[in-house]
Amino acid sequence: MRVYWGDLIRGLWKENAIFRMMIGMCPTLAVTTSAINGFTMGVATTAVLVCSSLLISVFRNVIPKQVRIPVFIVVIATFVTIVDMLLAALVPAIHKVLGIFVPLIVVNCMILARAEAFASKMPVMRSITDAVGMGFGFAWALVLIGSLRELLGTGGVFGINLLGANFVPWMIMLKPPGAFITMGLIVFAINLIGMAQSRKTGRLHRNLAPACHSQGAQREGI
Amino acid sequence: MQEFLLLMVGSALVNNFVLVRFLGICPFLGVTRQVDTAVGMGAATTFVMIISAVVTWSIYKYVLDPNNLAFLQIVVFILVIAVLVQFVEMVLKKLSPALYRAFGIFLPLITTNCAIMGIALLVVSKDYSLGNAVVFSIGAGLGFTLALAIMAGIREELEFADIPPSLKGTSVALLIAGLMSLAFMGFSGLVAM
Amino acid sequence: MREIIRLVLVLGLVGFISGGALGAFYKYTAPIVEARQMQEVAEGLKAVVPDAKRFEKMDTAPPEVQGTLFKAFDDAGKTLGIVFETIAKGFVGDIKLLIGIEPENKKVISIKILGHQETPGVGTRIEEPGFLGQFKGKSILDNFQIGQDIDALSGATVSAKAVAKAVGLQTRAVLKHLGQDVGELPPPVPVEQPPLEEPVKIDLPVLAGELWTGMGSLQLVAVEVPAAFSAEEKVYLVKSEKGENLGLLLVVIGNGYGGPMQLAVGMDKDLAKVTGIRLLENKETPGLGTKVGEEPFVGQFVGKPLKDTFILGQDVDGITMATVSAQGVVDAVREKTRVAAEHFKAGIDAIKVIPQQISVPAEPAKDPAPKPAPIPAPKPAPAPVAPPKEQPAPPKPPAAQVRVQDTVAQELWSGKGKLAVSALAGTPSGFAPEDKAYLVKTEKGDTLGILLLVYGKGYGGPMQIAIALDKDLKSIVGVKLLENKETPGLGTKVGEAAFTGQFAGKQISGSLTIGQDLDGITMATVSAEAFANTVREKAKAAADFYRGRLGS
Repeated sequence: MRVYWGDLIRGLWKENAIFRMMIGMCPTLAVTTSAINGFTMGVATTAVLVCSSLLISVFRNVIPKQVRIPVFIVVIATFVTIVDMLLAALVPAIHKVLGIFVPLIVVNCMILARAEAFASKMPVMRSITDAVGMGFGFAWALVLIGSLRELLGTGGVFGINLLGANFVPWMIMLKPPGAFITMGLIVFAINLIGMAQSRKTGRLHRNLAPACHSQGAQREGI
Repeated sequence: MQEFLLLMVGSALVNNFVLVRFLGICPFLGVTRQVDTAVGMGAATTFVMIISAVVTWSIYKYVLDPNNLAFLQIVVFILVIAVLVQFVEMVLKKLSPALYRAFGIFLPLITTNCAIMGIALLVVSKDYSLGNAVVFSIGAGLGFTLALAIMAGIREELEFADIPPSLKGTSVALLIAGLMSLAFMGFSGLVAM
Repeated sequence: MREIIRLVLVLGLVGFISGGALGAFYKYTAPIVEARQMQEVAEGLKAVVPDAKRFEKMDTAPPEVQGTLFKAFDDAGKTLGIVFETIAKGFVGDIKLLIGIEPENKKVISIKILGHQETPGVGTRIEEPGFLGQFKGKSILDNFQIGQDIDALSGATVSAKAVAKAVGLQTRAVLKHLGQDVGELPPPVPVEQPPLEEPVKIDLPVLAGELWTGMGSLQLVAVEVPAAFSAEEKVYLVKSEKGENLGLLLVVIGNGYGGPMQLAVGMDKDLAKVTGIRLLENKETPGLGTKVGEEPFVGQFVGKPLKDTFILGQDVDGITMATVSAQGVVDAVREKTRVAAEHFKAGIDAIKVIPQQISVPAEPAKDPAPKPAPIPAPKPAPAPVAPPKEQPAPPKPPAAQVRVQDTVAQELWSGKGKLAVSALAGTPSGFAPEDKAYLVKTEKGDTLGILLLVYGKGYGGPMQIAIALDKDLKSIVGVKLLENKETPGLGTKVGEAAFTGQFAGKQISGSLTIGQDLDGITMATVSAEAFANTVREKAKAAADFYRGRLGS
């Protein structure tokens, strides 16, 4: 039981996709224009992650190693398509806002990496809890960033006005520069906290950096 | 001719793939420590962008759409792109070792680049003709390379700057990206989109 | 080998399952998505068939209609009509129209503009309910012609025509497609242009009311006319009902493309601004030159300070394809207002009103021209506002043109009454063909001096400078900057009194150099130096040339 709990927590906090590993930057910056958009994206990504992890884990001993990557891709892409269709049918307004980033869930490093590293090796229950943890971690991070941008950009969160009528919205928060700057400041804050923590524990602190590409880059010796 | 030029300016500057559309953020943050590598990555990505735009467009136009299979596009496109990249790498290694050395190493990283999948999806959703699709992807690639090159140039200079420790690395890169994006907002309205 | 087959089989199986799953989901979600899209479309379509509750796409459409035809149904399922989108070629670009028709009654239900790029304030008037409302319930068998069964929109003729024609054509096409051929839309009958020769009756008080809005009904009183004005040009003092002086209304003649242009120019009571202008009788090309009578061209003159340079392309925007007409208007407004401002510089309240019904003119000797009976505009001396009256003002020169030299001479030798300016023969050294010299005498015949109208090379281009030389050809009476291309606000400062005033009284033999006996102008050094150099060289050359050649 503890193992499952550990899987869950790990995704939510210690290995949070955005705040610890900086994976999936593209959708993070693009869809966090409001809390509800971030939430929907988070839910969609979690759904894909959980379903594909589940399926891959169930068939992990059946899928031949040589073709595993294409198979994973097909599975993930299938679920992404299903989620895309469901969103279009159920919440068309939000679906329109999310635009191409729903299909782009398929290239989210997180899902393929998780499938490769965890789901294809671990039993079903653990894969599910891991997927749920990672997905929720991604989702709450998106909601947080989305809330922040929405609050400053429109004066409210989830559509509820919080800052009163006299607040002049910071339109820039809803535009691309706002996304970059918000993220930059968040990373700054995380680094500060990390630095303070490592001073306490004495362990080496490394500033936050994107996981997907830099790992690959290091592998290739760039 | 003018329409092509406007399209290219539109996809390169006005709706820059990185700074406006948020596609290709991973290489933008990860491979921009030096200008040479950044440009190399940009060139490789542009190359793959154009080819994949053409291939996915053709598949959509001649296979998926006529048979009402448009809903398969995500699966088909991503597979095609993955195969394409492998294929391009092989061909490049065989045909032009020089070119392979120049940017072949970036190719494996490109498969999961949002920008490639993004361009395939955009070209289809905007219902472009083949010519427009090619021009659009050339512009997109150029804009992508431009953004990467600028970022790399700035980061190279930043190596010698006295940045507070917690801002170093990705944090300051994102803040710079924010300023770049702000600057690129000046292009909006340049071309009627 | 078995390995590869196995791999391929696995891949194939996975692909198959994936395809199957996707197909199933698609079948489930696609109808929902399409229904929602239909609803969005329906919302839009309801705009032209308000009672409709449901719409259905029709399978076929005539080629002219770019899009689909929709059948509109009400609650009970009755067909209310057909709705479709179409495009009209407007003045600037495409105009997207939504049209609803009732095929049984062959009527248009209503139309809506979905999008356009027409000129704001002008072409955008096609969106006015007054215009669109004309199509409500209109029979499709009508001619859809502007001026006939559709009212025109002034200033938006092309846009209105485009919409009317499109509605007429497309509704017939759709009817034909539905099996009810009603024939072709008749070609537009050219609307007769009113003959230009016919004198346009100007109602001046109404015109004044347009240039001075919100002042109630106005009184116009004819006043004396500056000497430089021609016989057909008039000046009226504009008074409010209470008798307050609001300004002047000038009716002047400018040089247009097709012939003389009659303009009404309003000046405010300080004689410092133009309140507005109107184009009256003219021979300009309809649709091109006549645009100088339309907004936004005339609007540029509303509130325009007389101090502005009034140069086309600088402080006045031109009109494409109507440059000569526009130039004519700008030149006329500039010259006439300046003359009037100078003539009435004592202030508007000091202007003498021409008394009515005087049979004996105050200065009969000066008026050699007989007073003909009033005829339709353009009229000679008598004012059109009241029955013909004698003019105490000095006679006007027979020439219909305003001569720059007359105007400038009056200004530079002010207070000497009406002057007689005549051209001098001879070319002083350094004088270019366009440089001119004039002898200036008072009415009595006393020589006042020489007026030079010369050109120098300024910063932005040629500068025309007027130099008034005293009759002893030893000193400068005054200078003035005329036509120039200097930078407004910077180089044009050489035309201001602070600079030009320095020249008054200076000896022609003096140094006349910026920095020595003349102050320059910050940020206008090139212009100032060019001005001073031109004055110095040309004044010296003319003085040397004409010294001794002047008569009495």
